[in-house]
Order: sequence, then C-alpha cells, then structure tokens
Amino acid sequence: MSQVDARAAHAEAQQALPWLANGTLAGTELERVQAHLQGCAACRADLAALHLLRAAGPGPAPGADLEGALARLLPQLDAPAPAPAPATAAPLPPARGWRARLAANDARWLRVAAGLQCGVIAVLAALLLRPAGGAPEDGAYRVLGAERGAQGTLVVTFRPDTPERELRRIVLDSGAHIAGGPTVTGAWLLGTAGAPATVAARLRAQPAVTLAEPLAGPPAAPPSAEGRP
Amino acid sequence: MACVDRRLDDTLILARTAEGEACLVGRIAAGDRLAFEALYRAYFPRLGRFLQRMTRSSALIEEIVNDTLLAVWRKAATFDGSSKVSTWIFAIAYRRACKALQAVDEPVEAGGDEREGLDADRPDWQFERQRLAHAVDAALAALPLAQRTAFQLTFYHDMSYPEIAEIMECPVNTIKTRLFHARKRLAVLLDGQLEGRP
Repeated sequence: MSQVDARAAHAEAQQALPWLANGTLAGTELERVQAHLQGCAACRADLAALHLLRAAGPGPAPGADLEGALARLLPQLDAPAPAPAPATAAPLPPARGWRARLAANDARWLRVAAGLQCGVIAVLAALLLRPAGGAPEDGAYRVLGAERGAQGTLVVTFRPDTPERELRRIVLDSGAHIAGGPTVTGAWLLGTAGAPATVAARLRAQPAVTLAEPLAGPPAAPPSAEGRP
Repeated sequence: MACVDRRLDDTLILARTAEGEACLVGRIAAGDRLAFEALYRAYFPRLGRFLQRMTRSSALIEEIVNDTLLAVWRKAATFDGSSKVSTWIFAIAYRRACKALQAVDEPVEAGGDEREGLDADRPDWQFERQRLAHAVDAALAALPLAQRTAFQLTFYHDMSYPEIAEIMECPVNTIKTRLFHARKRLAVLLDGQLEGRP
C-alpha cells in the first residue's frame, strides 16, 4: 500500500471510529476500517477512548415525570389536529415589528434584496459587454485630422488680394464653412455637408479662387501641373 | 385492570425491536391507544435522555416529548417505513426541540458542576466512573448543539451515520465531520481523562 493510500485509510478509519464503537458500521467500510486498525496503534487507542466515552454516558435520567406527562397528553389525542394552513404559517412569527423585519438576519427580505442586486449586476454587465457599434456617430468626438472627420472637407486658396468679406461670401455661397486655416501656404480648409466635388466646382467658378480640391472621396483629377513628368 | 396491564405489557414487548415498533406505528395509525401508550412508554426515557443534553428544564423536556409523540399519533398514517421508526421519531423530536429552544432562547448550562464535590475523595472505581460521567456530561454541554446532537445520537442512542444525517437533515459527511470535531474538542476538554483506562 502506498503512503497516500495508507493516509487515506487512516483518515477514513478516524472518521468511522465512532460507528465502529457503536456497532453500526457495516459492509466493506467495516472490513476496511477493521483491516486498518490491525496495523494502526493510534486508531486502536482512539477506539478504546471512544468505548470509555460510550460507557461514561448517558447521564442521569432526567427528572421528567412519565405518568404525569402521559396523563396530560392522552386527552389531547381526541382533539382535532390543527388545520394545515395555520400549521404551515406557524414557523413565521406573526406581527413582527418593522424593525425586526429590517434586521440584517431576516432571511426573507435578504433573499429579495440579494435577488434585486443580482438583477442590477446582470444589467450592468450586459451594458459593459455590449458592442460599441450602437453609439450614434453624430455624437462622436472627432478631431479635424481624423479620417472620418475629414470627409467632405476641401482645401481652397484665394487670390492674395481677396478681401476677407468676399472670402466669407464665396465660402457660404458654395455651401461650405471654414473648418481651418489659413495654413502657411495661405490655404483654407472647408467643411461641407454636401458633395465635396460639387462644392469644389462652385468654388472654382469664382474668379477669386485659385484652387479648390476635395480632400476625401473619389480621387480628383490631378492638377495639370502635378501630372507632368 | 390487570387485563389491560397484561395487554399493555404484551404491546410494550413490541417496542423492543425495530420491526415491532413499525408494527406499533401501524396500529397507532388505526387509532390503537394501547399501541400508542406502549410506544410512549418506550420513547419517553429515550427522548428524555436525548433532550436532557439540550435543556435542563424537565417541564420543557416533557413538553417536547409530548409534542413529538402527539405528532406521531397524528401522522402515524404518513409513516411509510422507508426509515426506522426511531429515526422518524428522533427527527421530529430534534426539530421540535430546536424550535422550542429558539422560542425560549434558553442557554444550555454545563451540567454536573453542582455534583462535582459530592464524592470528592472516594478513590474507588465506581466513583472514578461516576466522576468521568460527570466530566463527560459537562464537556458535552460545552459543545455546539449540532456536534453534541450528533455525538449523543452516535454514542448514547447507537445510531448509524445515515440515520443521524436523516434526523439532522444534512449530508452524511457533515455528520462525520461534526463528530470528528466533537471528539477533538472533547479530548481537549477532558484533558487526558480518557487515557490509560481499561
């Protein structure tokens, strides 16, 4: 027998000793425990101590009066048994005060409270695990340089002598708004809700506009100067 | 009267075996008062000893025993024989005792202290035995109720652990563990008094 088996047999015998002492252990468990005891002096000593404990009791008979108690009980045998409904209600103390009901050890409302908490936690967990795709795009924060944010923007340059008032009129008439600029090269970034190509065409029609190109969308035809080798 | 006594004596004999007890319960279900009285007389002392470890009040012990056996009278027809009669009755008594003790909130005193000094210097074996019984009594009173109940059902009512598990409505491993801890605690409380004795 391996050391582990021997330890398990000892643990089993230790737990079973009380029922070996009272004679109710039976079957293969009895055989295993008896076999273990043959080789285990500690268990034999424990069994001897348990026999002594068994012999030491039971304590003196209680001073209860059998005849008196029986005489009181016999008339009750004829009384009808209590109705089932009050019997099931009996364990619940009637008319308890609200303080008692709110006591932390009152299992009834604790169960309800714990159930509600579980529900709230489940809802919060579901919200946490939900894919982020459902968020409305319009409310999302975007920086100017972000890809989607840049959609619909154009770059435009004006003649250097164009007055600021004229510049604003041209932009507004084209259906765009100024999103940034001027850059170091004098270009302005425009934003538009409409199609950038259409807006760019409108802008190009203005004599004060020297360049108008959409920044996103289908690639615009390269400016003639850039297409040259 | 003598005839009734003889019939009662005959019926009491039935209460000495598990099969006889089951037969008595069958007769009780049919309303046989003699059978009930025989079962009552057989169980009054057994339940009394069992309950004595839970409460020192004789009046409360009598009340719980009467409650238990009144339930036996009323529910005898529901006893299906799937367990022993003793297991069934002790389970009722245990539940009633727990409820009654909860209701009165009675502390269980360590018994035997007042008896300690009575035979203080008698060195004979009888006295030693008695002294050990008192020491065990006091040590048992110091155990938690669940451990004490499992202990006394094992040692003083000779029940198997499946029966005790049924009475206390818990798994058998819980009973084994309770008894294991009860023994460890008793060994400490009795402090070597169980060693070196025949």
